[in-house]
Amino acid sequence: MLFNSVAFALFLPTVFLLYWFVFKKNLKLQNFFIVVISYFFYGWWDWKFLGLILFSTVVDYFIGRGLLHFKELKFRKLLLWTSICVNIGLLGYFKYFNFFIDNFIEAFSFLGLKLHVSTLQIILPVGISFYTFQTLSYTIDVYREKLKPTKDFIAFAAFVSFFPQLVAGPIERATNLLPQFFVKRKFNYANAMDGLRQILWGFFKKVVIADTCAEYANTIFASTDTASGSTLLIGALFFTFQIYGDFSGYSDIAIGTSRLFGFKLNQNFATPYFSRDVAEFWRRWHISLSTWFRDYVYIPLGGSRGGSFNKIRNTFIIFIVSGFWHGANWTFIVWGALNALYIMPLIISNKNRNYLNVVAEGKNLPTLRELGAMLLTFGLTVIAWIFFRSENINQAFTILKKIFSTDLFTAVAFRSSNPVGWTVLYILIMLGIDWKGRSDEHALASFGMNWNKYLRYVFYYSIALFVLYTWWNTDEQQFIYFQF
Amino acid sequence: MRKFLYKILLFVLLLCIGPAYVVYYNLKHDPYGVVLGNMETQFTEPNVRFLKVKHLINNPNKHDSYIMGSSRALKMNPDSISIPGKWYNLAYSEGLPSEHIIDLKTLLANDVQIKRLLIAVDNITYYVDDKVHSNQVPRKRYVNWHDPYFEFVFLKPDKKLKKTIEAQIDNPNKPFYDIYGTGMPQSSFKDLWATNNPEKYVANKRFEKPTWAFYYTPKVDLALKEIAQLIELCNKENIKIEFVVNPMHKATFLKQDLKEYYSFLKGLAALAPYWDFSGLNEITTNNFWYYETSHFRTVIGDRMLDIVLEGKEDTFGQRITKDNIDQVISKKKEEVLRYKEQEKE
Repeated sequence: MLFNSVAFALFLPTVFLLYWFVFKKNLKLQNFFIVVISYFFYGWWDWKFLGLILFSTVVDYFIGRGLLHFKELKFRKLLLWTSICVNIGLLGYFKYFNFFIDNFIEAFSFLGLKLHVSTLQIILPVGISFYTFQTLSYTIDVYREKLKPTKDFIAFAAFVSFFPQLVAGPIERATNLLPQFFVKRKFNYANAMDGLRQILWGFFKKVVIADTCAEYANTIFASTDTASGSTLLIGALFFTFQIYGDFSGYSDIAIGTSRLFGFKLNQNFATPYFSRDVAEFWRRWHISLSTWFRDYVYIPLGGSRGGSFNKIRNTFIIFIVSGFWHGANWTFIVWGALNALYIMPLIISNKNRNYLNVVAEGKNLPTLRELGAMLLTFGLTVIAWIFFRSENINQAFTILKKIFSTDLFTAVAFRSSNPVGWTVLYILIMLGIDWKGRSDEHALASFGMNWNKYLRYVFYYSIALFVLYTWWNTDEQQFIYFQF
Repeated sequence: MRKFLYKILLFVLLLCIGPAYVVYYNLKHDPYGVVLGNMETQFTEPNVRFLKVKHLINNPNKHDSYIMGSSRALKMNPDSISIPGKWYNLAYSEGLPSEHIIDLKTLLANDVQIKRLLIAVDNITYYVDDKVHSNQVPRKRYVNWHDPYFEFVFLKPDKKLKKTIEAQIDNPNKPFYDIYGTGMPQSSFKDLWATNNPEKYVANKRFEKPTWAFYYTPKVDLALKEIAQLIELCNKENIKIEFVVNPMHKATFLKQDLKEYYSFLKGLAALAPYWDFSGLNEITTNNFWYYETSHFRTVIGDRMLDIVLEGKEDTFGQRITKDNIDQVISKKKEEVLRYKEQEKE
């Protein structure tokens, strides 16, 4: 079920009312209700893949129980590796099987050998990269004894399948989300209202920004061979805002929806396009994935300990793995590697933790130096997104060649059904509001809070109306991160 | 909780004012004909694809033979066919083979009789991607009886469409779409005018501009693959299928990349024999036989039907097979060169 669909507009109020009025009194029943509605939410897309979530849930539940039971290290390690193999195996089969087969065939044909191995017609289950990582975090944390394994299977199943973040994150840690299923939830008016504001802002970013930018980006990237360098640069810029609006919009809707049900999820985006260097960007973009890789891959590999070589190796590993996590295509791997290259000078010179605060904290405007740093970081990010969005490496290089040539100074030309000027204005509005709320958990957390109550509601109403109006003009668009 | 629900309810109710007006507007005017399906009050181009499939599902035995293709194929009148068969014109604006497959499967799943198909193809077939159509409301497919209503009832009123509707209400020559009969739009006004004023008619400036949309990009290989799938489906379902290549007006014909055109003709010949009316010939170079640079006149459509279905002898059109295609293409190339030289002079 898509958040931006009529089905969800009917689903959310129905389950909200049932949750708080029918299942409120019994915590176990309320958790069971969450499992049922989460499976319904997922099954709306394709019920056949519900078995996979259930399988992953059962495996990690029993492995968790096993880790409590067995004290011997070799047994504990065996259990941990079973969980890793099952989850990564599922991910590998559904997401990467054809990629490896194709590349094996190509590698052998390069050596003059013809291999006849057929690829399979595999459908990628929505959200598999997210929930497998979430369950893995549970097993690893239990193995490390950071978390006590739960006896309550229903609560664990609810943690794995919790519908707001099931298909596109944030990837919640068991240490944060699981304990919330054991505490009686109370309806909190202020939290719920703030959740609604976050949902509203998420919809604005998804429907008004991402879906309108998508039209331009799709048209321009599809005409790579004929479009000018300047047009391709505009296309890359539109994609830059599309992916931000799309993914951070989804996260906002997911976090806001969770708050309506009395849950607190972690922040996943913290105005990343206002970062002053690439290291800061990665502390602000898809935070739940970056920290997952940091805690479960980078640190176990040795992190930044053990000299420069180890630091460089480990950084490359996590960025390349992170790129590969996004999709079975060389474009994602290059995207990851490129980001590793960007961050490398900062890592080597120990300057990767220069900017831990928000830019221009307590001020209205940044300094010229800060503005320059933000623009440079943004520019580097745009270049990296070209690889992320391209169908293949050749296309990405064609685009870059055209952008970094005199072709850049030719006129921008592309056709679209929506006027570009308006979209640019929406982007500026989004950036303006994001700038004001850059210190908050989400852009509307405090925006307009000191205004007159009626004026504030007019503002919210205008956003809602605008989202509705734009949604009408575009078809329901899937969230990009569903495919990862 | 009560305060929260009260605020939400108020907010949602206020938000519903706009959509309520939209629902009222769409129920009243039904711009695409999908909601009410009343062709007598239909003043704009309805969603013909949806309505025709729906009509056939509701009348599964009324017809058994169908003409499919783009709006150019809409100029072939099923009533003029005298060979056995209950013919219906199932064509619609920019109809594509991949979409025909979907519609045929829908019809077959609903037990609609299908014995014979006449598929008309042209540059639209190998220049338009069906993905473009997924966002276009006049070309939405029929999925089931309830699927489109939500979408069409909440469709944003379009300013231009609103003006068109208002302008057409009192227009005595407004076209009538015979969805529930032949499947053709009925409008004899232009034909009458052309017959009475032939010189003025052919000199009209509209014949200088080719019909070309910004999203036209070559996709010959994909089009041929889709046609092969269509043939496979017909063979499986025991449906007789025949192809014709439409006579494209010279302006539109020359606008395309002729390499793509030749490659399409050759590819199609490898899949099935067909009737070819395209190229630069006595019809396509004469504006008199066209409404504009996209659509040939009904009289030409009927002539094509006579040749293809009834086997009438004619100098217009030729039967193409994989044996004569190379020869035909060479001849066509020569004709194009000759025409361009004449134009220079």
